[in-house]
Parts: sequence; structure tokens; C-alpha cells
Amino acid sequence: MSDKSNKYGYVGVDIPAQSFGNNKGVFNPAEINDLVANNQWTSFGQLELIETQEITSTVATFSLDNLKENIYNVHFVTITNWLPSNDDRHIGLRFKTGGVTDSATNYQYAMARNNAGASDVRSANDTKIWLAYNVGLTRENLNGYFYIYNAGDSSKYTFVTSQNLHFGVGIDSNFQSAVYDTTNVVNGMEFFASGENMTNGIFSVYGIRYS
Amino acid sequence: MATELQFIKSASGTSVSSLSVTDCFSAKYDVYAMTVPTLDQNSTATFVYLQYLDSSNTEITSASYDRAFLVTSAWTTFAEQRATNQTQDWVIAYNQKDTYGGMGAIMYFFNPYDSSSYTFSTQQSSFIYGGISGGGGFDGYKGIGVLKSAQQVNGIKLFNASTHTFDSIEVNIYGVK
Repeated sequence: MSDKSNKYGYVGVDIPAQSFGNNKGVFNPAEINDLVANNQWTSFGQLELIETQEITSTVATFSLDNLKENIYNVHFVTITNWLPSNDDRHIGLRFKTGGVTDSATNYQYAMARNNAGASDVRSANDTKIWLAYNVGLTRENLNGYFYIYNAGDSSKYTFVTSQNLHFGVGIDSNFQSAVYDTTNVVNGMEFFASGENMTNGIFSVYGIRYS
Repeated sequence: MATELQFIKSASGTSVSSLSVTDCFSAKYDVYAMTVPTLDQNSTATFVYLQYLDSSNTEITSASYDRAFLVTSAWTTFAEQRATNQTQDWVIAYNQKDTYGGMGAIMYFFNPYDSSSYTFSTQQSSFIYGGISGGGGFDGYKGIGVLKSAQQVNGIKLFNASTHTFDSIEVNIYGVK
């Protein structure tokens, strides 16, 4: 069935189908907004900042609660200058479903650590994901990034790949893969230290459109 | 670090033995990213291989692929995988089926379109490995690869070892600015 509605600058003729990289016509702002919402508007720049949050006081947990998981299948998260309140604390991650942090044994991870004498870390039935080990109050802050896959997909697990580094005993690189092995829709995440509190850190979450 | 991603194209297939993404590389970018929202192999014990496509979008099958990656496992000790002078790269996953919960992967390609440079890649993935007794175990790959041939590369081809097929596969390619 042909579409002869008057839009995209066309009147009384078949309206061309619109898609990314293939927009035809003259568009008003409302039409552009609709096409953007439907992933049909050509606009380069597919790494889209969703939010940035900063730890500004001493806290036990810190959350990012806006993932727009119904839009993005892959998320990119940066961590800048994270610092625990005590030496040799790990940075932990848990996901939220329905706005509630899941601390059940629904996590698996495998992390390689690159410094002299560091051992690899793995767990197949855990209550959290460690993103990095032994970050120090009296040492340098942690910086890094991770990707989240399938957060909004109720038929798949939510996967993570990460790389974080800090200066501990020496330069300490931590890279890992992890999974939240339920099919719950993830709509937030919570960070914490392996003991006591956190004092610093800037977290940004981006969505990768069309991912 | 990448400052921006620009979507180039998607490719997908169902019940296919391979998926080729032609003309996804160009002179416009030096670095590319690939995400893999779906990769569902129809058989276990099957590698996921990658070959590059030349300027005519024909597979490069010469023994000029080197790879090295670490398999990080939640269920067993970590293992290294490395090989030189192969006819393909081994990427992303092994024994991957959506019934195990899906997967996540990001792969970057460097200088593919530059005819004076080798084509390099990095990969990091996260998936449920299906080949162990009693169900899946969790694995991840972190690795590097190179095509040791200075030639223009226009695209990629993903395929299974042997004659196995993908029940479904989908990839997205981005240029990194």
C-alpha cells in the first residue's frame, strides 16, 4: 500500500521510505525528531553521552541510573580518577533491575592483572564484578573504561568487557570480561569499594546508537 | 581514545555459512570499530574466523594472519592462544549460541584501507562457552591480530570452521574519528 500522506515536503505522491544514510525530502523539526526517535535520521556521531556523574563526598555506593537501555544495545562507560577511602580496595560493580541493585549470585568474571606478582582473578558464582584490584588511597587514582552489552535485551544476559589501570605497587592494568547471567533488563548500575567508602570519581555513560 | 563513532553499515544473515561486510572500509577513517549484537552458531566446537576482503571484496586467503589472545575464564585457568602465518584470524568466540545467553564483543581495526600498511586489530569479548559438561562456562577474549600484507582492505568476512553455519549473525561497523 502506498503512502501518499503529506510529509517530508512531498504532497500527493508516494513518500520515500526513510532510513539512516538514505533520507529524501525536505524535513521540518517535528519530522526530524520522529525520524531520530525511530533511528531513521542520518546524523553522524553515534557515541552519545547519556550522563556524567561525580562523587563529591565520601560515599559507600554510587549509582548511574539513566542508561536509556531501550535505545542502546551497547554502552560505553568511562571512569576518571576513582579513589577509595582506604588502601588496597577493589572497585566493584553491580547492576540494577527495576531500579533495585541485584546483589544475588548472578555474576561471573575473569580478570587478568598486569603487574609483577599479581594473580589473575576469576569467579563463576559471585554477588558482584570486580573491575580492578588493589587501588590505593595513597597511590594514584584509577582510570579506565568498560563496555556493557545487551542491557535492555530481556532475552539475553548482560555482558561486560573492561580495561582499567592505576598505579599501585607499579603500573597495574586490569582487563576482564564479565557477565550478569540473568535475562533481567538492566536499567542502572552501582559502584562500590571492597571496604569502607569512595572519595573521588567521575563516571560517564555513553550509548552507541545502532549497536 | 576514540572521540566519536560514526555509523557506517550493518550486515546480518540467518542460516548462513559466512557473513561478508563489503566496502565498509574507506579512505575516510583510519580506525574502525565493530560490535556484534548477534552471533549464534548452529553447532558447538566451532571457531569464529575472520578474513579480510581485498580491494575487489575478495577474501584474502594467504597465510599472512598472525594472532595472539588471552582466554580469560571464570571456570578454569586462563590460557593463551597464538599462531602465526595462518590463513585466517580467530576472533570473538568459540562455541557461541544465543541459548547460552548471547554475548558481547568490541573489535577495532587499524589502517585497513592504507595500501602501504599492514592491517591490525584488537578484540575484547565476553560470552558463555558451551563446550563443557553440565552447561556453559563463562569466557572472555582479549587479543590482537595482524594481516601481514600491505594492501588495501575493503571489508571483512566472518565464517565458521569446517562446514558449520550461523543460525543468525549481525555486526555493525563504525568509523572512529
